[in-house]
Amino acid sequence: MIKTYAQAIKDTLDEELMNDPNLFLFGEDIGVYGGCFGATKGLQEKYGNKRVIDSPMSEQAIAGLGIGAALNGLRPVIEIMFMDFITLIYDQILNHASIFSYLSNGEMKVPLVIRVPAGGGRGYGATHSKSLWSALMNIPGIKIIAPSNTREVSGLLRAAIKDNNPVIFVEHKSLYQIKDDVENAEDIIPIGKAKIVKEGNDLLLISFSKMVLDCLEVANKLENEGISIEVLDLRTVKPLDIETIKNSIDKIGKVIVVEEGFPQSGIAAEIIAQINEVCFYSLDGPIKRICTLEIPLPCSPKLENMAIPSKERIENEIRSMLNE
Amino acid sequence: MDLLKIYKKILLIRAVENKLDQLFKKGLVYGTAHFCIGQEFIPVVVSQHLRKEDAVTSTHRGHGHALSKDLDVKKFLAELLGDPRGYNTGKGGSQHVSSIDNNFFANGITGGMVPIAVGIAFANKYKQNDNVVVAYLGDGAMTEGYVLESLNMAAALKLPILFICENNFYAMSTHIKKTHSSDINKKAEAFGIKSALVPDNNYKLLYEIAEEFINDTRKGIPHFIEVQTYRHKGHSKNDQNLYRDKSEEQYWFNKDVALIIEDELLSNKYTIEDINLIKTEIDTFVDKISEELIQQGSDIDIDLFKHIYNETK
Ligand SMILES: Cc1ncc(C[n+]2csc(CCOP(=O)(O)OP(=O)(O)O)c2C)c(N)n1
Ligand SMILES: [Mg+2]
Repeated sequence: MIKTYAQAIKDTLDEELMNDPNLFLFGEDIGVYGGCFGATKGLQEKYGNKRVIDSPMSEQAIAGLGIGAALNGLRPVIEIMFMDFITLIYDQILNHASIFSYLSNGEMKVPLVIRVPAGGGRGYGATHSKSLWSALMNIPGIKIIAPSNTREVSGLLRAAIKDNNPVIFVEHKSLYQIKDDVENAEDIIPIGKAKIVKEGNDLLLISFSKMVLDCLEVANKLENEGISIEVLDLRTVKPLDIETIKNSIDKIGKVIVVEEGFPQSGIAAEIIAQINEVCFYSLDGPIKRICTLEIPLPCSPKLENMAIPSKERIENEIRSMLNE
Repeated sequence: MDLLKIYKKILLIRAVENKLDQLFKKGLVYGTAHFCIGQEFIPVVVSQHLRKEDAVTSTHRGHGHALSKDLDVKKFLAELLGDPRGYNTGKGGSQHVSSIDNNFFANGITGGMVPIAVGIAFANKYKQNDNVVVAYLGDGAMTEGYVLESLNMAAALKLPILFICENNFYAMSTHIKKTHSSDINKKAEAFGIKSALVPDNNYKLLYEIAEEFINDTRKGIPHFIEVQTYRHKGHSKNDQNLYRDKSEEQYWFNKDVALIIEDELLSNKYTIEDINLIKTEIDTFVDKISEELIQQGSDIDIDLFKHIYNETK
């Protein structure tokens, strides 16, 4: 069956709304409008405005409502319209959602999913294009999932919904319309498990979210020239599956980390630090990272394309590392 | 109104805070605390109308809220002392005491629990029970954006929540005349929330309004009460109140609800001996539990990494 990423999300929410009467959706314009990317379209019509609720434009109160409802036995899936706005609910995540289980020694739980689209490539400019996962990375007690493809988005979303912790579920704006056959796709994909999406021997690309697609395209292109690239999709950003990363590096000593966030203190930086700690001696040389340039994201297609990691940049970095 | 019960609870909260203050001065407690003496009658009076299933969200100044929600005194004091026998095994401390059994939640971010209180109320409405949520906040918290978002949210969604603003005129050292240019209860009203003002520590008025408002809140209508009150001690442990006028302080000390109720009890059937006996009993009780905690110590080990994620299925 062919679906888009957005449809796969919608169908999963639909099934879970059907299965669990305690699940509800809450966010700005998620009802008739269907969310900015159509990922909730039709659900309000089906489940009514008591379970699929258009909220006021109050991000902090949306997050608080989700946390409180989760503490009180419901399973909220809230939506923040763009990842750039995650800063507005940072306090509710950092100082509230993430601490209840710990401080109550597990007596309290916050089974909350925060759906949020990240990423550029759509010309939305500096305030609607950011990939701010690294801002969330060092918050103890939360999980971050960033599905890279239409076949897996459903299994990962279902895992997020079933989890008893706050999960930031990062969708990607440039993936919503990508179609794929979802026949026999995994029903539920464990959180915290990375996946090798293409095996190879010469160089390892570690990535997640939409950049996995670009990495795969480049890797497949180079395959024709006899260059064998392994591509690892993190799927879950936190907790980070350093085991799977280590296994690949023990086999392949050349590594590039590709992500759409900014370089300084980014996810790539964190991965490189952890590699350094667990398998430094398996490396052939320094690890490289390819990230979005550290500038407010420009709007014009030409400038935006220069800022976000492009396939050309990935290919050039691979070639230069292999030629060293 | 069971005046004696209210009086005893006020004295208990006071005794626990005075004990804590003493232990701070002896260097036996770590961290800080915000004392509620002078304002503690508010949760005591409001709680007369609450049930166990009703939730209370609290603030940095939460000792009175907690004990009014019937948290166990010894387990509570243990938490303040950073003892593993405390409600949160010492991970929480004074500002972050929580107990799921008591439906009690506190947090040190000023007003930060208010959006969450709205969510707890949302779930009650969703589950179609008639539990209410009482969200305490200060006059300072009333200037935080998320609190204003929450008032609007509760009104727009018609949620069973009662906001109670303990307006003690100061946010730390800053007087409300520098931070508010309209009445606090009028702000809530502007969001479409039925609001009331209880001036001058008027505990009788608070009792009546809280009864009416909580009954109506159970029907799914949000309410707001501003109570004008005063904290007797500094903002936190070491504050000297240099920004407060002595005559202002005296005005409010004279309106201390504990004293007023004491007079009322004396003019009823109670003698000064009865009152002294009550005081001694409460002080002795608090002395005893604090000594037990300190002398018996505890060697329970806490696994620092456990429960960061909730692993229950
Ligand atoms: C978001 C946030 N800002 C600042 C503080 C530091 N702080 C703690 S209490 C307080 C004043 C609170 O005033 P109010 O809400 O009136 O409560 P009160 O202390 O008077 O009971 C401040 C500034 C904080 N804990 N959280
Ligand atoms: Mg105040």
